[in-house]
Amino acid sequence: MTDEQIVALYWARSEQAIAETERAYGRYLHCIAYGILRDDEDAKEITNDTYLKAWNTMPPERPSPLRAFLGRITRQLSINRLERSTAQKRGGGQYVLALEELTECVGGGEDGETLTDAIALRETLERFLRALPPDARRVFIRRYWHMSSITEIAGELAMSESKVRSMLKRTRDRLREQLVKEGWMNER
Amino acid sequence: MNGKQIMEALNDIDYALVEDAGQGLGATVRKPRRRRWVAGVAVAAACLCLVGGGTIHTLGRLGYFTESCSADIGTAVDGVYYFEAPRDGIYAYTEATGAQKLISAYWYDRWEVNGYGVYYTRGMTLYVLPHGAERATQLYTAADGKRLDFGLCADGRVRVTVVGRVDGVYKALRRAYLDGVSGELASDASEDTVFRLGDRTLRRVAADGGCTLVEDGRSLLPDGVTVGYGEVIGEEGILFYVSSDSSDSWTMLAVFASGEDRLFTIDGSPSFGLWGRYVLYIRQDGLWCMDVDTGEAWELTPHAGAATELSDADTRFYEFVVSGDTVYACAPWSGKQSRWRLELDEAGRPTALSLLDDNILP
Repeated sequence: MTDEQIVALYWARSEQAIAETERAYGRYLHCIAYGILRDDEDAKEITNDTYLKAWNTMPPERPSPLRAFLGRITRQLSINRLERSTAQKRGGGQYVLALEELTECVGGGEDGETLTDAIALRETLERFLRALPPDARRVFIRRYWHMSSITEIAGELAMSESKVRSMLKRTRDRLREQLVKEGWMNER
Repeated sequence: MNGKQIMEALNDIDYALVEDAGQGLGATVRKPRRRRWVAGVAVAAACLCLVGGGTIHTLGRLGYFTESCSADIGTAVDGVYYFEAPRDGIYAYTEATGAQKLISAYWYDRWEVNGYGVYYTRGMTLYVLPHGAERATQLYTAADGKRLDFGLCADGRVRVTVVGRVDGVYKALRRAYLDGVSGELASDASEDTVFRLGDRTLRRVAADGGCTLVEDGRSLLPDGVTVGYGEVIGEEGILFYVSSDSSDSWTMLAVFASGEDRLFTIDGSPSFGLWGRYVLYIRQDGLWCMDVDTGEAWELTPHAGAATELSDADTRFYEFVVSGDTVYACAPWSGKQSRWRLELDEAGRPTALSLLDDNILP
């Protein structure tokens, strides 16, 4: 079944939409959730929550590609769940470590963000990522989008852990430079 | 601005970048059914592709679609500095010969170099171009898989990893150790790496949560301390990264051919070099030096009378390697590869840097 057909099922309020979404993207979404939460049960719950959110969003949305739309929902729901459990002192796994690394890079200032800022920041990040060498970009996204551990990234990309760490550190330094250059933050 | 804003903004980045990260997590491959009219259009498109595809393929292999032209630091081996010129190729540089192109960017995907030759992959095949040779030798070809990764071990072996998709997920299908010269399966298939340093022989042995370093059957590390994979090899010693939680504070073990090893911590970025019993490292965009015996550290400030006036970007040190008294550095934003000389005082201590070449790229 194509994405368009699955979306049409959502619009027709057919419960088969959920079954088809699960068949097409269930494993993918579970992998994203598990990468962040590190708990199989939690990951299953988030995957189901993703279907529910998709159900509540379509209509009026007609997302394309569906895979990207669902992947983003799963990531955000997983992060929300993790933040709640971290607040309850239940650990935090790779998300907390990754967040600490980014906070160390850009500082821990106020949110103070408007919707326009959020879109502009996303564009800055896209420009930054596109200008990186492919290996560095792959490592950065694995770490800060998928929250993969250093060990997992090293194993998957056949690099030493120290190389992954050093590549991440250099990339964060470059990100900081770019953010300063584009006026997002001041020099420390 | 804070880390959470970055994390949230990342959520909305172009999904093509996420897919390009090679994750393929749990993807289910679905082939849409082809309709008749689509087949007709496909034939016409295929003809056009034959014309345009070659050009696109060439540009793709040269990295024109990555929008990246930033330089990475190279590797110094036996007095020669090997580096990559983006979209151009791999070069070997010595003061006498200048930069000489070894391999065009068209012909390789990834590369590494050691004392025997330049190793590189193209598609699912691993090649080696021995130093001084004109032709590369094919070392290994994977019959299946989607990607071939490799790494050079300090003992001359080559670790190859064949990555493929299983149930839509990228996984390592096979790992093997090859003899770095013949390409045959290495007689030693262990994950351990053997380092020879003068009369000393060290073995890095995998252990829980890291590795231990063993010499003559005894560990060189204090209880509870492990080293990670990856090392910096100097002319008189080797620096090993000791497991560390912080990204700005690095604990390292320096092992010397002459003995008197040292365990120490440095605050700086993770780019290090070893010159004699001095560790060179980057801190606040400058190159610093630390005497491992005394712990004393100082900045190697560039000479005021440098041959070329440098911009801010050029004078910042991001990555470097040491080769004899020469330091090669590159600044990511400029894409330049600069060459510097270590200046020594009467006691033979590095005290400063002087610029020799603003950019050795041809």
